[in-house]
Amino acid sequence: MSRKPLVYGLLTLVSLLMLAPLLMTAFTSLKPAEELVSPPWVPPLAPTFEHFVTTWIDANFNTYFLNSVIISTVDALVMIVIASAAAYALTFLKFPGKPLIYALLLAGLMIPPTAIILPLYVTEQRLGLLNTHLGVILADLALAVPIFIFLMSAYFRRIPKELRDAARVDGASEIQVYWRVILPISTPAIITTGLLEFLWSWNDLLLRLLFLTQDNLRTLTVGMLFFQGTQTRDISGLTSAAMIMAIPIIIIFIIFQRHFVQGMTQGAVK
Amino acid sequence: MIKRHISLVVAATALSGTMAISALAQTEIEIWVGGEPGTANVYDDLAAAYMAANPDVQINVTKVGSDLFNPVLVPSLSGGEGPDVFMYGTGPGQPAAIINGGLVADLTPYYRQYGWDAMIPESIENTTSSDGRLWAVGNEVENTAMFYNRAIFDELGLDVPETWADFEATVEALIEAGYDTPIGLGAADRWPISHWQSMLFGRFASPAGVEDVMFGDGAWTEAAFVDASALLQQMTEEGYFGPNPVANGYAEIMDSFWAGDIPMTFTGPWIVPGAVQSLGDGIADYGTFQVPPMADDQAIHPTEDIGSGFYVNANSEHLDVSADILDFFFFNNDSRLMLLNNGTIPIGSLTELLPDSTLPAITADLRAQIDSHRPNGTIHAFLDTVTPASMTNVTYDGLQALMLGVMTPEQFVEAIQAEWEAAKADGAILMPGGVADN
Amino acid sequence: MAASSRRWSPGRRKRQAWLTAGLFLFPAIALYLVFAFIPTLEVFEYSLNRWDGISPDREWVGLGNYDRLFGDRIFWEAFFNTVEWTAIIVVINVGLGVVLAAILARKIKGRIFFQTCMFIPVIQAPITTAIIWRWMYQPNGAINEGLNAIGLGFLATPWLGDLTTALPALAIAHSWSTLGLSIVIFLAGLQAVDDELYDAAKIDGATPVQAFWYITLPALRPVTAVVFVLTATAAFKAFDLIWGTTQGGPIRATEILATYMYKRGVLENNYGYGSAVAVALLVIVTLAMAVYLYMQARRDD
Repeated sequence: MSRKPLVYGLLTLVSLLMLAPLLMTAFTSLKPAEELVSPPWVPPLAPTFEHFVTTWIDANFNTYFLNSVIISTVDALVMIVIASAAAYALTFLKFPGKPLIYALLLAGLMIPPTAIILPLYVTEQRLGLLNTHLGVILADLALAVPIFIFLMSAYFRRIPKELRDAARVDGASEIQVYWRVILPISTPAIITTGLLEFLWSWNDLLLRLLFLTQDNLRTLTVGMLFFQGTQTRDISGLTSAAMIMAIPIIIIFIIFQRHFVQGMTQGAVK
Repeated sequence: MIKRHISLVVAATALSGTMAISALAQTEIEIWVGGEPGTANVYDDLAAAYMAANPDVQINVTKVGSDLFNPVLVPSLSGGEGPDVFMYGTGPGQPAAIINGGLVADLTPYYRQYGWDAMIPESIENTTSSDGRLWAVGNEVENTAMFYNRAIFDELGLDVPETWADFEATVEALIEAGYDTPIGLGAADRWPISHWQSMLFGRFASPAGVEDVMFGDGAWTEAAFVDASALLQQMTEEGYFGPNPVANGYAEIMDSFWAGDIPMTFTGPWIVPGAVQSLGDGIADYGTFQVPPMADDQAIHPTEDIGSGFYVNANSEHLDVSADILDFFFFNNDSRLMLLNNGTIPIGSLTELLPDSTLPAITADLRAQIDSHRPNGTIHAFLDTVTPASMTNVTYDGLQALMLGVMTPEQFVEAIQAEWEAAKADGAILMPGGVADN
Repeated sequence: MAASSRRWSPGRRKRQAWLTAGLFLFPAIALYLVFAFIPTLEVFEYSLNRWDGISPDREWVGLGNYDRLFGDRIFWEAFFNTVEWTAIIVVINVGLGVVLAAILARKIKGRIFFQTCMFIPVIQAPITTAIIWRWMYQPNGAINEGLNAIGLGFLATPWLGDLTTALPALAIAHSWSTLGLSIVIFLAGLQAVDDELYDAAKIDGATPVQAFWYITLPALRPVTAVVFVLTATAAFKAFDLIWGTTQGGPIRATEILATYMYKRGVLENNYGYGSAVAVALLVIVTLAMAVYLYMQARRDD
């Protein structure tokens, strides 16, 4: 019992270190112009929401927000389906050439997006995908799918083979087994995949800047860039934009975290 | 029933309205701009003014983040897509690839047709042209100068230094008064050091000396550049820029400057609009001065460069309209006044504009100072933006090494000269500037 | 009949297996090939040319760019920086990640709160993370002020302005922004550990540290591989944080392969050479991961 304070002390310290930057961002976003010279860790004396209003209305963040929601939601949902399907095949099915597919996907983990922007642009151009949300979504999925296939496979490998084999003996097709047996007990992996893909897609800048040059198609990250110049920056705009970006994600994470924990205990297969 | 009727009428009107507009708007022009937060918005206003005067043209202004402008622009240009008009670096180095690649249109015919030569100063013409042809229209003039906190100077009884000895005494007095960073720099961001480098190189070598390297047979290894680099290193060692200048970010330094913790900083008027917003009338506590000559045989040469230029895509289907837009944006006084009031100083003489402008006093004063020294000849404010990008990176690394004391001035100039020669051999440096006579 | 059916069945079964697997794999693999793998092969092709990324003609130089690369002092500097950077990040994310996950997996009060706190840095956009850590590491920033406040002022140093501290300081910032993810993955792995094991250990008089050492760590071995690969590849590719703080400086103290590739290829319009750096980066990471996974697999056998 004597180590409890120690554990809580450690957790509190780490949590504080993790939270402090977000708090400083929040403080700065709420500071009126005259208070901006005070250090970021000093809370605002006269908090104001004016920067949020200007960012949302003048900087067109309502449009960007909607675009971000559309792209990230589609990304997350499609990623869940395609990554889990591929992971199912790699985990449960026997077919020749499996090591090759693994190696191919492993290489995909290493591709730095900054390295392939030029050929990727040409690909999108040839397929007529420039200035479409679809173009961004397909590239997002392609660049992140290897990671999620590995994550899903790691989870699937813990599911006893007998579960699948029993269903197959009962006459279920592979698709039925995947959809009715494996997916329902994979909630934690599904939620992790959906959450992370949503997050990464939400925060990505490069592909959006590259492929979406029409203002009505652009996303929050691109909008945020306009507050950061080479020589100057609009710190109020930047921090309020950062908060506008962070708040929905925090909410989503908190909501799903409960499901995540529940899913873990219910889905645990002994 | 009536309600429904009305909505039908409204819908029909709206529909015919859009049709009318689309029937008129036959020419669509895409313009990409970068730049500092807030300043890029003026191009929306300019585009609106142009469209009001030319209803058959539809202009879309797209803001592209300044730091990522290159990775976005290059793929689209080389893919044969991209904007009709765009902002890009100037000088003999930066635009070499797009000019040599035939991606930008020759603006010389328009230069002659519209008489732009009357407004473009020679120094700017030099960095926007090569091989006798004009490639870009400079959109903004930028200068650097010493910004200082008047309240601190008054309190300590300090005057604006007139000689280098005065300047040294001023710095010492500030250090004694407890200001451990007499001159803010923000060397962590690399480019702010180049403001000092550009000024010192220009002062020691004189404008002709720098031009001789840029467009002639001169070399960066000449004694003047060694002396200039040595002075920068010496000032750093003596604490002019504070105890850890390389650890300071520029934005953070500016915060301390406006908070009154740092008495001086060498920068440009682009910081004024943001400061007016947060300080209000408090901006009156700040002034600018030209750094005094470092030796008896030197004069004060104001620093001046254009931040960037506007280019026209060679693949644009509307070259004439694009050029006409550039003429409207940068060569008529109403537009230039709009730019000026937005904090963007347009090229050409400001004499006619200043009486009507709402330029803050600090910027107007600086402009007057620069004009008074202009007869001495101007020098580059940003050598880093007018030399090739490969050299820029070597320069930045070298400047930080100089400041950290791990490189000698001689090694520094040799490193940049080596990169300069490599770029020349690669054809990454353009022919001398200046537009050929008819 | 029976003989022929036996003769044909392996082929048909094989084809059948291919078809079923193909159905499951197709969407993911097709997307991956078109939008990631083939563009990467094109980068390899660029690396055999001298090309500014703009002009229509490229000059074929064969392995010339690679020849230059091996003699490029800055490339090797960036390479060793990348190794150091990745090592620090992996050690923190795996080491601290396991410990924090093990604590959070116990039934303690407020674990959801703590878990959420630790995930918060992960959700922040990279541009925000960079701005925040610049603030923190300034000579008069939050970290030095904090050290002064708790009497550890002698540890205060110009973090990002010093050639020796800049890289580790930024690596810590990178770990800060990714640690939450490692914790979540470790937590998921810990769900598989039977609680009865801990109860039995307690009855046997094992201390919590012993339980951690003999039960938790062995159980986490497979998940550790996942965290290792994810953390290491993310570290190798990291770009935004360094670009938003030091741009590889002071001098080249924080220059890693990803920033070097960007400077050479994109900023200097030297796509051929930049592509060679990219290919080198890709080959190095792939080899490192393959060796790691191979060793991991052999240990598991």
